[in-house]
Amino acid sequence: MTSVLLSRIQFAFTIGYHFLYVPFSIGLGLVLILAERRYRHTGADADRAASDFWIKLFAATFAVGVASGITMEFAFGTNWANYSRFVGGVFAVPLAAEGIFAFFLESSFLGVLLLARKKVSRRFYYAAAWIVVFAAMFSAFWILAANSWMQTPRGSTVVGGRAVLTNFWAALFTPSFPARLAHTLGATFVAGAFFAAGVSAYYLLRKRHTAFAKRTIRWAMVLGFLLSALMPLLGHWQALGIASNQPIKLAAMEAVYQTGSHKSLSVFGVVDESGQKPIGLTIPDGLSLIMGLSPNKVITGLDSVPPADRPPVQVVFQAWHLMIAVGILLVVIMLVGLILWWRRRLERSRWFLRLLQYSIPLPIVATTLGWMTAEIGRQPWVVEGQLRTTDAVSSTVSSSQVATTLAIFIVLYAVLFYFWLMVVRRIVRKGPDEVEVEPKVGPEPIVPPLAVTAPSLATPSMELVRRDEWGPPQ
Amino acid sequence: MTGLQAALFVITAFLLIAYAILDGFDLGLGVLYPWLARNDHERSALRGAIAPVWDGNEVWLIVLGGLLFAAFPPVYAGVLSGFYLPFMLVVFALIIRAVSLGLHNGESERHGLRTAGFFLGSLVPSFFFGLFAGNLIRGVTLSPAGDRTGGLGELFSPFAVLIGLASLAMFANQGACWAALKTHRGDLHARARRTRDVTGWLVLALIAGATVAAHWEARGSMSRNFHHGLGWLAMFLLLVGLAFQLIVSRRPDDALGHRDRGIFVASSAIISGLVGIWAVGNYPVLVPARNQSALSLTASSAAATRPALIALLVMAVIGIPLMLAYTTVVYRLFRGRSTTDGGATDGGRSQY
Repeated sequence: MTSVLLSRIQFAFTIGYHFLYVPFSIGLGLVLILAERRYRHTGADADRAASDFWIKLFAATFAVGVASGITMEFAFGTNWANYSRFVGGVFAVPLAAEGIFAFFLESSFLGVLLLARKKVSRRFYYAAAWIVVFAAMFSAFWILAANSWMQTPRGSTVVGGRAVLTNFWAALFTPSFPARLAHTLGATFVAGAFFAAGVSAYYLLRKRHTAFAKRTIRWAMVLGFLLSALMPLLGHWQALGIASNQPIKLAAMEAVYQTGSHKSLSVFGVVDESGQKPIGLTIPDGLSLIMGLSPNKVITGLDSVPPADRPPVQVVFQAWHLMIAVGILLVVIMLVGLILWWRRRLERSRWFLRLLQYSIPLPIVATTLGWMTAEIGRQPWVVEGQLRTTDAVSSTVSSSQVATTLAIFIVLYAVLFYFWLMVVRRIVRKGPDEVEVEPKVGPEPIVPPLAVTAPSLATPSMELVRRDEWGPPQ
Repeated sequence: MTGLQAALFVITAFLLIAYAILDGFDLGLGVLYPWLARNDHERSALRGAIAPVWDGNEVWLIVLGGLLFAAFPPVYAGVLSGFYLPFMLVVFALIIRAVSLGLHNGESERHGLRTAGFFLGSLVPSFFFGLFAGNLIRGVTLSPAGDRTGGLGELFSPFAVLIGLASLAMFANQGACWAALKTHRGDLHARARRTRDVTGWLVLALIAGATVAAHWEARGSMSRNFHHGLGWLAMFLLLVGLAFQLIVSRRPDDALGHRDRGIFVASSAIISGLVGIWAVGNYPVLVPARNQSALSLTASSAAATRPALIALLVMAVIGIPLMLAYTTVVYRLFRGRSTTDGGATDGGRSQY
């Protein structure tokens, strides 16, 4: 294999791996803020335990995210030296900003979050939680701005074989950036909601930490439903931008070979690459309708560029349609959960709780497929229209060197994944520290504050009485 | 050479010094960890001494990488691709280290594996950063495109290896000083202080050797320090730091460890002095070419264009005070001597 291909595989593998953890850590950040906010208001030990629980999961995920992020900061220089020389003065400016403005904030206040609960006031601690999560999102802001510039370069010109910054703000806020940012951050929140819901389902199935699990699963499902239902809209916004800024990517996503109107929208299927058409379930005129609200809307096809400038169609088509399928599945899962809860049958529906538990990785499957669509769909360009991926690699790094490091990455990252899984499993198995029985709310008799009993004895019997009744407030 | 380019060179040097001082102590502590800590309690105390800050310290390296990439793209590209395998080794080491430190729940199980990960993950960068510095002082073979074309022999030249060892000793010294500063009186503290005495002399010996070797190997660049105020400042910091550490730590009456802070500052001065001497000596060259000096990557030939440099300068002017402010907040919050994993006075409950 050539060093270009190996470097592409290495970059895809390392950044894909990095992005397994990033959505969970940003999403869990949102979850821990909600938990910490509750503790700030109630001051109850149980709420602090809940918040501590999410912080532990956040920290474990964040640790692997940081570790795998080190690779990314240097990957451009090690494997893509010609890319780095070409784009450094433009692409790396937001990258430097990410380090200066986001990483410092994040790492400094993460130390507070992890180790200083007892040293600082509850208010400072709550602020620190917000700062860490804000910084994680701010980091996403800069890195997605850099990626968007590669997709839709603006604010720069090419002089003497180098991209040169002409307008900082134009290069930062490129046309594809706002929708990409919204879509990506939305996806991380969905990942967080599914994580929280899945962990709660795990506890409900085993009748442990039920008070915590019931409270969590309710808002996790509401949040998960609303956000995953919002995602198609954000995705559509992004697709409209692709249609006008990167029409060839859209053509590959829907396998449109000939430019023209009345283009159909595929639901699923395969691309017949020799026959130059998609085969499967299609909606006639669908693509023209959805992109221009009219069957006469002209869609640019792959035939508008020479074959050498076209991305691989089949993989982009499949990644795109699978992402949509998984995305719809996410909405359906959360909707079913809410209906079951509304009908007071959530706890008895063990099949659904089991489904929810195993759905934790699904949002990550969707983000990975979406990312494949975005990045493979713009090939053969690494900077759209300006630099080809094949011209971007390091000329001094041989394919055997890349093969060596790739093999080490695969082994190392597999081991890291195993460790992460073990740590997360241990944290989840242990659960939030059980401190005392929750005070009852509503019409039920209020447990006197002195009647604090061992939770392992008290909780299950109380749950027995209430289980069938749990659901929406009357 | 414009003022803007010079300013970015100075900022790069500043970030390098900050990184070497701050990550220097937690890297060095990792190098000494298997010897300093003999039981769970001591391991926990040492990890606690860096737990809240090591991740933030490493961010200085990340920012340095980002700044080099944006301000001097050919330097970032040429150095990282030119040192591909050894640099990847450093990346693997940093990943293993980050996971050994970050991915555990303060429980003692598998401490052997974690100790090995923390140790090797600290040892490799401590040596290789010095090796890279040695190469960049000595000069590398560059192609007209700015790629390093020299082989392994050039990479591991005796001079570069000597600088690598000096860097290892310097970080270990910084780690020992930090361990002495952050631990309570006891076996661990006494061990850290004895180690500090050894590493101090080791640093002196290696720096003396490197100074002599630089006379032949460093293309005469280091003598530039005698012609510039900043060069004199750097040499002053180095010598005063060395003298302070070696003289003060020998005085026997410091039973309470009152001077640990001063000695840590002295060790940091040694580091700033050495990096400073390198920066002043090389200025304005970032990557000297051994084969043909016209091919050297300098702060003017490698610089990005004016709008990019202006954006970076503005970001640095706003960002560096902020970075220093967060760092101060966290170090103040966790000041004092560490007892356990959970930071200085956390009462021992740990989530790290």
